[in-house]
Amino acid sequence: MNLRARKGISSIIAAAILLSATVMMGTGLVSWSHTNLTSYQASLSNTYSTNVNKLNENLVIENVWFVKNPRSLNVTLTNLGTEGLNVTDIKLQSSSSTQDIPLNTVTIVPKHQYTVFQPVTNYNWQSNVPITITATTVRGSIFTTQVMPP
Amino acid sequence: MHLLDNYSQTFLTTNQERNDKQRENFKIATFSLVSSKLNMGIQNTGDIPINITRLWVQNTTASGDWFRTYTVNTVVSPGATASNIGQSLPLYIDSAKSYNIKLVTERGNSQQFALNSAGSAPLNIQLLALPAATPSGLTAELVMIVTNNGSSTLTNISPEQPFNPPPTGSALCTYGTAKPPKYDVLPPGGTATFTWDVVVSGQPNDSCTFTANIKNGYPGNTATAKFTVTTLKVTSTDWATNTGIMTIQYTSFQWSQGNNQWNKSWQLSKSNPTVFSLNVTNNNATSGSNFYMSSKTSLVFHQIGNSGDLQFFVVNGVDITGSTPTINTPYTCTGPPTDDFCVNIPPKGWKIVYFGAKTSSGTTVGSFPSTGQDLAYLAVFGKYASSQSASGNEYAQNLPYIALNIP
Repeated sequence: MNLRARKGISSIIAAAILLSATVMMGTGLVSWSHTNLTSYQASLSNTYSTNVNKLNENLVIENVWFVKNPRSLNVTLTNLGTEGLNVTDIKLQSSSSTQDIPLNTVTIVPKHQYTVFQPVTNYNWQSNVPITITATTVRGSIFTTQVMPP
Repeated sequence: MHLLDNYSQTFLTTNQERNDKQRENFKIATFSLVSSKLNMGIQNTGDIPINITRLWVQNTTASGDWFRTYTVNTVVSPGATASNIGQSLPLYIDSAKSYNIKLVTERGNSQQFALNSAGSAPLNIQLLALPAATPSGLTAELVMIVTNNGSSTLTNISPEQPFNPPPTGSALCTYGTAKPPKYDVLPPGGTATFTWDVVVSGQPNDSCTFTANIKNGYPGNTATAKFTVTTLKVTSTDWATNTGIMTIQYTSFQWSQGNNQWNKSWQLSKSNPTVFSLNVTNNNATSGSNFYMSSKTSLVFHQIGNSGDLQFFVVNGVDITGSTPTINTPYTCTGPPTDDFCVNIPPKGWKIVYFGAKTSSGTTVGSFPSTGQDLAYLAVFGKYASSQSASGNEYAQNLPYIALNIP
């Protein structure tokens, strides 16, 4: 009689332990997945923002004047987009030479311009030799145009 | 899904903006300087509205190289032209200096042209004397053709006036003003043509040479053309155009006083019976309308200093084999009308016509009774008709410029 009663108690205990373990495991799983989803959502949101901002970047090399003395270029960049952008680099490339001009992150707000003056560019252009001008932004967008010196 | 929708929308919007930028198209339709200020007409040749936001200007003169930017903000509808662009800007153009000017739209497109900058590079200049050989006193044409072989639009293109250096050479060449005096705009590949009326005076083979260049042009970028005075020559065909329908071939004029000999010289003996031969051309091209020559047609000789003229009437045939010429076929024929309109010349055709009868349709050969110089002309009478008997249209003409000397 006493032995039978003990057998019933151990079943209850076992069921309780099993239930507790299940609850604990479930809670852990939910917690883990929530953390993971939040992280993924943040990453997705960040990627989205980066790509949308990059897609919205609209920079135009509006004007290039060839300065004769001393020989160099004035390059005017205009931000036609709706987002601000940072220009990090301008590259001047012709058939005979390439000059890279790091700009140390120039910020151009929407609908505004920035002119890179000749002391910076100090580029010895040649008459009738086309020059390819490339501007690169922090987000990695590349804007390019080609000009012909007089 | 919401993020994906936003991304797609951003992508589509950006794509649409770039597409709009590609659809933008405009050109500088008119250009002039008013009160030393730019006065441009900008035509929107695309199919979407454009907003001209800025004007850049660079002084490209060798000394004083500078650039400035001005806000324009003028919206132009598709197909429309915005005028007086530049008149409100505080920019004054010095006509002695050259400039590069650039207009930029809100979407970032631009149009650039050069102003007063014909001197920045040599242009293709041709100067033509038309005609190069000109009779003295007549008006010829000097034509200057300027081609913009550069890549930018040129403005204010005009030839340097007066010509510097002035025309050189032994002939006297006077010229008027250039037409047109200037071209406001000359796009790349475009051609400007200037003309002058030139009167060349002098002796045959005298000449004058023009040297032309563009005002404020590239040093040494000139072209030359030469006019040479020539003798005026007129062919019998020209006379047909200018003097009448019937013409004579002057080199065919010949005379005979017998002995089986035709002569082309201008001197013949008096008192000897003389017959003449002459090629007569009918320049009327009307088909089916021949020229029927009347028996009243004659060669008329007027002796200088003498009153009274001498006539040698038309005959059908002469015989010059004897010591004196005779009329073997007088100008007679059956009618109607009898003995008149016997010979006909077809349209655009010609015929050898003989003269010698003292009277109309006569058989006696005439002669020159006295010495002296005779001026002669052919008095042609006849009618354009379909037949000898048809009434047709009467026509008469005087053909001068024949002369003989009777020693």
